[in-house]
Amino acid sequence: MFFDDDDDRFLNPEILHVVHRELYAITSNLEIARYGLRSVPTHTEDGIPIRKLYVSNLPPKTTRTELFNVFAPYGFIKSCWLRMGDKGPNRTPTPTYAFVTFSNPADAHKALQAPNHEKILRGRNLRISPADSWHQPVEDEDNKVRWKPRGNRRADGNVSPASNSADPQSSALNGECSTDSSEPNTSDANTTPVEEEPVEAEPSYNILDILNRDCLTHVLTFIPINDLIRSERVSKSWQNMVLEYLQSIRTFKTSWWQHETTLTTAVLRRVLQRLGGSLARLHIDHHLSALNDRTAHTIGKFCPNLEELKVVGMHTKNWNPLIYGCKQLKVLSFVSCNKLTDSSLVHLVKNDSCIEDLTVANNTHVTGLFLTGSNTLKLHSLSFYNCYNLQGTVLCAAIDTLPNLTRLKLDVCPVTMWKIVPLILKKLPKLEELSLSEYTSAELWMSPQGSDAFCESLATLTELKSLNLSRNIYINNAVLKQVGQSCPNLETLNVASCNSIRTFPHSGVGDEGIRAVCSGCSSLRRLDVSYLGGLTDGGLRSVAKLSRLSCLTARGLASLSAASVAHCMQACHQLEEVDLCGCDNVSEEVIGAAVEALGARPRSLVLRLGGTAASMQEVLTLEEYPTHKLLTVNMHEDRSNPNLRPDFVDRVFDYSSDDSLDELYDHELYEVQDFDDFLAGDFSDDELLLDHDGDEIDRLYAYGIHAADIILL
Amino acid sequence: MPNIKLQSSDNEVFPVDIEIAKCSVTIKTMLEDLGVDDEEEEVVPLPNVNSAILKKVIQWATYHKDDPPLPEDDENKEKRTDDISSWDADFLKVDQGTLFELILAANYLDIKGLLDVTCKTVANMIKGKSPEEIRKTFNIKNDFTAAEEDQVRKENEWCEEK
Repeated sequence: MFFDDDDDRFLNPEILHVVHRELYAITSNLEIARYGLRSVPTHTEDGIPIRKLYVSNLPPKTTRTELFNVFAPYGFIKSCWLRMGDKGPNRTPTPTYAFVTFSNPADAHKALQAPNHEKILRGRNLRISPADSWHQPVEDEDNKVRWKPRGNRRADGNVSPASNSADPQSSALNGECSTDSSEPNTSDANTTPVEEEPVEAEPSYNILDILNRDCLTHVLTFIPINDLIRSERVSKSWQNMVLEYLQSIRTFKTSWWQHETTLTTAVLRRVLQRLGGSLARLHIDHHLSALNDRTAHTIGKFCPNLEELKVVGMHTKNWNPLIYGCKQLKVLSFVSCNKLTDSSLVHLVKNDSCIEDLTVANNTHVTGLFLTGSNTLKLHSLSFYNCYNLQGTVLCAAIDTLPNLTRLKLDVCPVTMWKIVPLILKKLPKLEELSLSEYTSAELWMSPQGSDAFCESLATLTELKSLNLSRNIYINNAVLKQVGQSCPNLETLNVASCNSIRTFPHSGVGDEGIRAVCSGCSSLRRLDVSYLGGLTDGGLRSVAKLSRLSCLTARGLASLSAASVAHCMQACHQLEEVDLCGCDNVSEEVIGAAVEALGARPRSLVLRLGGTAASMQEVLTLEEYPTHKLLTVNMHEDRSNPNLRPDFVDRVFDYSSDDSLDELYDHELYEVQDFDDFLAGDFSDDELLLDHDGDEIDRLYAYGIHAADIILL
Repeated sequence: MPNIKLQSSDNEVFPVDIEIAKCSVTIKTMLEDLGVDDEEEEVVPLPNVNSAILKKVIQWATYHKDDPPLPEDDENKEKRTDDISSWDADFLKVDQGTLFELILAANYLDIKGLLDVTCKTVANMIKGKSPEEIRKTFNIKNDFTAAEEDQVRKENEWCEEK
């Protein structure tokens, strides 16, 4: 061999060591080529079984997982270790060589023997040879394998001092100096690269030793991500623990970032660098976004497994990087993203994309043109909320290419949409969920027969499970009769505030319509009939027919009395929540009825009676009943919105009132609440409740709602 | 109320109301699997918990026996640490060793409420602290070389408190 010991003075022993190995690998490959047969040794020259393989010619940016995947077919891999070299020109460390250790020597032999074309990584032929004796795990007398290499680990992670002239590994490799390798346990191992994971155990007694991984992870779940990243400097094992935990996080919302460092794109990039790989859900929903157009690129680069992305208030037009990076993306929402246009979406939603659920809210550009010819077979949910420029005709044409759509939401859309809705619905007989709320503009008042076309289209929707028609002035009793006839599977119906008494020739939804629905849709589980001017006790009594009803919401109904509600509670055995907030004439009689109903059929029941005539006294005596633990009565919070009541007098523009502006502001807050209902899909009131005592704006931020949203709404 | 006997690792036996013992999912499933006989007084050995800790755990469980069941962990919600009740805060005014032992015991016995509140207490010791303070609090040896630490510090400079 042409390397004498003298060379050590000039060459860094580690580099020398690498060169030795490379040469060995090349020559062993040559041998194979020459003889055309694979004489692969099973033991090293010192008779130690070969478990560990030395792998070189690695492509740049090789990851441990990639390497693992190359060798996994040959057997169980005990460890896989990459030596990262110095930082390359791009400031990313490049791997120089790797060790792959198999549990079983036979597997290692298989891997060595396997044809070269199987061992290719990113187009490069990996060069593989047995690691030298010194590196091989040895078997003790009692056949236990010692996996860790002998000797001490290097204290210093950097290049070893040049003064260290003895290089036992290379000598062992060459077989020149067999005396060294015959005493492996005593070898000085200063140049051994750190293997596998760094040792955890510190001699001192500390938290990392006492608590197991489960408990530590549980502690870390309570610490904000910025604090965790900052704490990486504590120690090596701490850093490992933190990184390992960060790599297991599946959900991140930027509103969780509580730190004086503004979450800019550069900061987000560093966060995603750490936890992007495992992230399935990312919500960019913090207050006053400081993120720039590079953000899409960053997300695409670091979050390959992202399944859900929600973006609030970002002014980025080009979201195409998501297509290349996030191949798993299924749920996508853009809220108050005002530069979003059809061209931003056209590449995201096309025939081979994975997007299943798309939401666009508070937008003034999107027309729906991006859907034309998209032919996305996977898209099954499409929601638009407050999209000012949405074109009904464009959407109608595009629907032809969306064969699997089962959920359609067109809320707060331009009023011209209402004309097109029947045409769209006729094309979607498979629809299961439909939302057409907040059509409150009277501009397009057609004839009193205007709802006929809509009724006709409803006749085809026999699969419908959920229907939201709240605050839609075009809905009348005729529509509900049609629903009762054609939607036997309906489980959720919301017809809150379908009033048009003052403006229109028909009178909105009343007793007649509710009766028709209650006789036709016997599977109804949730029903909202709040703020219906035409609904009286007589109509509500028909709710008793709904044997499966679990949630009844009837807020702000001035004409409602306790008797009809009591009647329903007796009959609906599965009723678990009754909300009567703001029904002025409902007395404490309902509490008595609830107690009776629970006595007959025990279950838990929540009664919301804020803003009713029911008195506190009744609740205090509840304790006497045996079923009192099942019944929860809430008298304090009035969740009803006075502005929506049929008997509401519009004071907002009444100049005599001093607090008119406050009123207007309140009004907007309520709309925000509706908006979140829309986003949440199956809404739970508890989360959306606006706390009248607390700081409302803060609460809104907590729901991921921006100041910008409030203004837009 | 029927009692059950819990035996700590140092062989001390604690008679406990069966309903209180059942707030530990581990004990609950153990009893269900074995099928408890009301006649016999069962002794449940808990080899991972010593008597001092077991006493604390029972004290906690007795106080919290009427608590409503905790909601399932929702990864969509931010975790809070400022919702520790004053009784719990007093209860957890113990030395670190005991606190860690309580975490381990809560984890082993699968008592979610106790595990959460103890972990929150530890999390509060970490939140908002500098790496130096964390090292000091938990007696962690800094095994970074000066050069390495400098590198991490540089990389995380954007995240440091000003």
